[in-house]
Amino acid sequence: MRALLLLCIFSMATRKVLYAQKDTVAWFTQPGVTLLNGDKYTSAAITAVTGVHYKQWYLGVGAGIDYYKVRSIPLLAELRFESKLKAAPFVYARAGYNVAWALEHQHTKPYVFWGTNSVFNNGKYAAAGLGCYVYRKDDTGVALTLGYSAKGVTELYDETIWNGTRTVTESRKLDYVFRRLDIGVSYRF
Amino acid sequence: MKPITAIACGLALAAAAFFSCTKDTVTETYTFYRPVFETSDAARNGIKSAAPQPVTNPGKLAIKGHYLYLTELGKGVHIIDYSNPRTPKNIAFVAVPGNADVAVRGNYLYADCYTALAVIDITTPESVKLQNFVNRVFPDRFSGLASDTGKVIIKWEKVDTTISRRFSESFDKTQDGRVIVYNDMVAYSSNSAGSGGGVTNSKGGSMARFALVDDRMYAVGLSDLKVFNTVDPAAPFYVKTAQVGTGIETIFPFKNNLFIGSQTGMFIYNIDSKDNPALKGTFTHARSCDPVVADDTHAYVTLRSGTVCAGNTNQLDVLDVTSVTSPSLIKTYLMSNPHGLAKEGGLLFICDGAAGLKIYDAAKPEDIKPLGTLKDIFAYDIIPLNGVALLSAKDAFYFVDYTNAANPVILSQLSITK
Repeated sequence: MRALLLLCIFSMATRKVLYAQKDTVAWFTQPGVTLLNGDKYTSAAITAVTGVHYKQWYLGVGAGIDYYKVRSIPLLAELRFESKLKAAPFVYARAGYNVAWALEHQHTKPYVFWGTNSVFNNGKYAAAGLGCYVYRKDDTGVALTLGYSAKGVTELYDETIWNGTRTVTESRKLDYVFRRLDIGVSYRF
Repeated sequence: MKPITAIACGLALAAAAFFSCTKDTVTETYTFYRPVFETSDAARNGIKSAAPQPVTNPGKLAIKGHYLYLTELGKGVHIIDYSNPRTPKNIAFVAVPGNADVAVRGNYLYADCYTALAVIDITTPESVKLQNFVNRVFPDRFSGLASDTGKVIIKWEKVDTTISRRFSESFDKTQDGRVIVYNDMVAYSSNSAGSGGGVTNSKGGSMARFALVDDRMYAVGLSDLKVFNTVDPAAPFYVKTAQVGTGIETIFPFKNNLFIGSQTGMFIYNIDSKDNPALKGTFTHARSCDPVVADDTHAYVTLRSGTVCAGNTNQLDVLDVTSVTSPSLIKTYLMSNPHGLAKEGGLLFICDGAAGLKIYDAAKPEDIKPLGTLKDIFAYDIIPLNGVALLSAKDAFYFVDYTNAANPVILSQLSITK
């Protein structure tokens, strides 16, 4: 499945048909959904980016909901460069802040009966990839992307451990970094 | 190479890299304590009298004569002379590494020294000496860490560490139980009473894990009951171990029965055959911490929440144990956060946590009536003794005059140094 999508994107990107780019600054908005393939786990994200474009350059900011392992809200900036080919193959890079928004079952619950759930702190978010348009008309279009992303969150909780004479409470910190292969589809308008 | 070919190659390489770089990682930063070992001989040599030391981390206690033996958790035993309860004196400290429990028979102090039992001659409290050392009798006290390789643990050192590892879990923590749980039942308890062979035993409280009955000592572990022969107080020896369940917390002897408190219930063992405790009856309750005391006809069990024992009940259960084979609940009294308790004659003493010490008229167990309360202390456990009670609390040990049960009065206190 992944190889097929990769082939599709590649073939689209190699069409030798030029596509005109505008020389004026214009707004764009591009919501999309992404399939996230990670470490023995697959999930999804929805994202929306809005910003300005000039000629072949696109600069925007956006946000999304990323459900991979620990639900989070990436707040990101995106820079994209589109080629002049008909399918407008492009490369993009995203960077930003990953706001943790964990679901109840994603918290570690220390095995002490009066214990409280863990707390998640925010982390960083980064992504990069390639894409092209499978449909395009004027300033609208449907794009497919293949990329790579990483997001981080930090989990904190107290645990009860034995100090040799009695139980004591100490804190444990877990810095997670999740790395995924992203396959996405988005609509630009 | 044509540009298109270069692009194709680049895409292929990028795809390969993507597929191979999707490993999640977690970097854990945490603290643990690891034991520092010493040879048994070196540990034995360290058991001796020293100058009195401040009480900083008190554990169990036993009283015999006018001496109070109070454990300093993991370090040793304070010896306190309270011949005048108004002016108790801390007279000596006996270093016993790994100590948690204590009992006294005759002139000998029994104290666990990690996996061993130390027998200490306390004829002269200011100048005690190690009399005997019974190895390998408490192998489970440190979850296998000190499974006797000829060494004992002398201290634990704190280690802060960071490790990184792959994290391929799904992150569904619904069934997770990641954290080590140990009972903190070593804190704030005392031992039991009795005598045998003309040798008197110490008296303790409801949260004890050592119980002396005549010429035997019974010690409960997390899941077992050990029997020691103490006919010769200077040379006790291990007899046997019986499995008694899980979550065992306390042991209270009364006549020929042992009342064992566990996190899920109370077990009654008969010791007509001293070396062969036999289970006679059980009483099951909701999971919680539950010290127990008893008399001829009734057992009194306090259940409390907010502890490692879990549960959400705070109450006193009064059981009819006229028939030890079928103890039955006759009444439940609501409490605030009951810890240790004691019964003397018709008086019932309950350490009700932040609600203080409560004294009840328990002449009629089915209709217990409050008499007096000692407020403004966080009470843990109590040993009443002919009008003067030794009360362990969060901030100090108190000597309390309860001759007027309706108005208990603090005579003196030993402060706990933090």
